[in-house]
Amino acid sequence: MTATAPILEVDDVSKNFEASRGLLGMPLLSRKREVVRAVSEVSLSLGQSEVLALVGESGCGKSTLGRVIAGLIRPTSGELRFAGISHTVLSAAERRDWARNVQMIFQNPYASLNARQTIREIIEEPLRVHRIVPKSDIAARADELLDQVGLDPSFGKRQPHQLSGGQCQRVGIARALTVVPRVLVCDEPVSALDVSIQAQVLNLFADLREELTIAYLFISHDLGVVERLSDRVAVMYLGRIVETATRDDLFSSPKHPYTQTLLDAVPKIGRSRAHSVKVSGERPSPLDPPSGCHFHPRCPHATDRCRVEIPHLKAVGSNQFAACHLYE
Amino acid sequence: MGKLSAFTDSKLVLLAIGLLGITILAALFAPWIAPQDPYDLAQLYILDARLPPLTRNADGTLFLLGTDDQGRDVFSAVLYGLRISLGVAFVATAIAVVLGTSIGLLSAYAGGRTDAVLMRIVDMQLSFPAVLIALMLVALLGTGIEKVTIAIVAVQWARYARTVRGAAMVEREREYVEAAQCLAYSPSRVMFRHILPNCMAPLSILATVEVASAISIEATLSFLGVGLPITQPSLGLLIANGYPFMLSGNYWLSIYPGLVLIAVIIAINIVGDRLREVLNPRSER
Ligand SMILES: Nc1ncnc2c1ncn2[C@@H]1O[C@H](COP(=O)(O)OP(=O)(O)O)[C@@H](O)[C@H]1O
Ligand SMILES: [Mg+2]
Repeated sequence: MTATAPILEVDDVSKNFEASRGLLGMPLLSRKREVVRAVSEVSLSLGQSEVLALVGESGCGKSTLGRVIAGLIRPTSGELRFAGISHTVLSAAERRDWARNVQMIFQNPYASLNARQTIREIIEEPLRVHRIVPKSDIAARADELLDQVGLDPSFGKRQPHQLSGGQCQRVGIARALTVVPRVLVCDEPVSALDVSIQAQVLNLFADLREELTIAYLFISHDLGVVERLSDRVAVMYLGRIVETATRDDLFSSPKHPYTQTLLDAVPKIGRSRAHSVKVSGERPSPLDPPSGCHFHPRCPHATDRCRVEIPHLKAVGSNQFAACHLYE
Repeated sequence: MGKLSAFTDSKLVLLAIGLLGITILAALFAPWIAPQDPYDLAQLYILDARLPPLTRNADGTLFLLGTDDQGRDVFSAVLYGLRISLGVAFVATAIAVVLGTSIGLLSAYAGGRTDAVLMRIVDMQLSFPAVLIALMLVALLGTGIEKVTIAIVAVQWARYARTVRGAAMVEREREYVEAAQCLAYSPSRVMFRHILPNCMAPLSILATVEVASAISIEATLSFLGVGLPITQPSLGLLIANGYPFMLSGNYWLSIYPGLVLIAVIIAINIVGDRLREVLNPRSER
């Protein structure tokens, strides 16, 4: 395997949820089962030690894609490959292998820790379960991990409710690092934190990337965070990737009208501050997505073709791809 | 520690805890505290029969709560009865907690058809009055200390199953469970090490209150004569045995075991209510 081969590939992955909107929410009384197309035909690849940001409005399927990649839910169709090896149906043993390669950082730092465990128990448990280090080294390794995420080992005795949000998120990061993963799926890991704390935790992500051979899929709706941390950006709209590009290309010459609207909504000077992804116009529902290009009802350039035909990702630059009929 | 002080800042709760402490100790140490062994016939004298409370016999022995028609010291009988009543209730509750909790966790974690079937059984079970089911069971199984224990477990497991399942369904959706699954922990580890400890608050509240209900089921069965045998007289049986003498004025035979029974049940319920207030998940964090 060469250094440029991707560590993780997502190949044509879709995830549908069945939502029954029956009488009083009772499944038995529902007339028809409706399908939420949370993720549709997504293909992505993540290079070794690369930081790929995934941006899009809330509800567009970012978390669902992240959870599929982390092995928490099975895709409806499509395939995941780690270092070239395909994983479609995961047995218990394969699940364990996958878990040691791909870990996840969650959005809510408090809720992602078991309130009944001490910090030390939280960190030592994966070391023990996955037999990462010999039994006698477990305590020392836990101290090392705490230190690596910027927490004093004395924090081990505490419980999650005695920690701040930022400290909890550091514990979450240390827990994910126990198994020495090659890929970290970070689902809006700083969006629940105070702005002043966000910067510190982002610095930790940047530092870890220098110290370890690790790639991030960094999910965010904050373009300021994305611009600061990422190498490459994928833009998602209603379950589909509409544009991927290197960070510089994306911010200097966005090609997809949706990406353009996103960046226009953010004043250039203040972009490094927190700026949520927001676009005017009503956001269509994944229960009933618009025909053709999902973005056409809000697109200033929409043509008749956009209303009927779904565009696919095509090269629009040396390292830039957009799913838009304008570029043909 | 804030919880402990919240727990003890009510005088009534302190009183109830004190009372429970004393009754549990009295039950544990009954053979050492009781002035006589009420079931050793060699220690009973027919001349002491039916003495009212606080009287002395010819030898000058004081009978605190009087004696029964065989000259048995009622105070000693109450202590021994307490021992049997609390013993049966605690053992039955412990078994029901383990059984009901396992079924509730399984139901929540497995979901789907398993969950639907288990919860329909629970619903059916809980739609009948507990005493009725217990009565039918001892009618089938026969009397005896193990049979009564089985009957109480059979009536009570369903309540634990439903409570734990409800709490576990809520916990299952929380991110720490996803984090555990992301680390590929086994389902049993996720259920018992992660979800269960977070369901302890509702479980311990229920278990406390259900001890009282176990005591009263056993007392009811024994009072009706289908519970414990005459050789193992619990408080319920003492009340039943003393009942025929009520009209002839020997009120102390039934009243004192009855008062102890009521006091224990009320005290447990006071502690349970307080536990509910203190452990309310909404007051946490
Ligand atoms: N377990 C689920 N069951 C049904 N619908 C879901 C489920 N999880 C997510 N969805 C739906 O899928 C869509 C995408 O959700 P999500 O991936 O959380 O978006 P994002 O993280 O971008 O905000 C939403 O419409 C959401 O309601
Ligand atoms: Mg999300």
